[in-house]
Amino acid sequence: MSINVSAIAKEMLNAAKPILQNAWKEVKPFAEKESKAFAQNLAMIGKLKLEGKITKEEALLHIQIQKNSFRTVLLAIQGLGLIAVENALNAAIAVIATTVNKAIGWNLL
Amino acid sequence: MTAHPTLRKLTGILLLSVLLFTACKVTLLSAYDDVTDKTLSEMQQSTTTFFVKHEANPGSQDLSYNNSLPFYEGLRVKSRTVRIRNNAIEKNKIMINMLDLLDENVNLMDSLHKGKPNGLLSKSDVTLLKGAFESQYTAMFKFIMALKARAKAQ
Repeated sequence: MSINVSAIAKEMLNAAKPILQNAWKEVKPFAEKESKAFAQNLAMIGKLKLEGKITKEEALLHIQIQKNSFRTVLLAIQGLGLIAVENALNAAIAVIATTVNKAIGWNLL
Repeated sequence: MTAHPTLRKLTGILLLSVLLFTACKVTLLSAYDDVTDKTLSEMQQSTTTFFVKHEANPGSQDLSYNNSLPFYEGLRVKSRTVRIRNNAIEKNKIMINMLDLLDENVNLMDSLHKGKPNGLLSKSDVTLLKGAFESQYTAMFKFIMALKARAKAQ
């Protein structure tokens, strides 16, 4: 039984890389849109306060609400990233299984 | 030639490790939960209805703080019920944190509304609040949909 470790590592990387790249491609527009909305809403709160349309207390409540909303967006991005990592790891592990089974000549895994 | 017993033992351990490592799928997050999905959909619908009413009838006394108390209470009951359920699910820290932030935002909106001298949210309040809650629900549903797609793929 001979297993080429560096070849396996390369195959594992090849299996994982496109999954992680595609995940970021999918998440990027969402992250950009929400970051822009967060910045715009903070600017609007500042403007309303300057114009005297809201009090300081109201401005602080609005800021906290916007911050909590954006933190939820970041948590979603973190979760989507973890799902991508999970998929990449499982794809890489599937490569090991194929290679090990081939190397030993029967289906151990 | 017979292999040394220690070498044979090491090879066995290595094979077993590979077997154990590769036989299990890596799971970093909790599974999709249908009850959480449905409860959040109800909360989102209730919140959207609240903002649509404000946009359609700004200044209406039907939307005063006192008349909105059942809305706030309804959201809190749902968010706290689903939070308890999620607490019992393993590898679920992200969803728990999201639910805590949603509950906190319901409380902050309640405080803002309560502090209004005439008991009514202004047009700019509604614009800001609507944007914040829409982003928050969208983010939560994006994550939930990804968990659902992952469950289907498995």
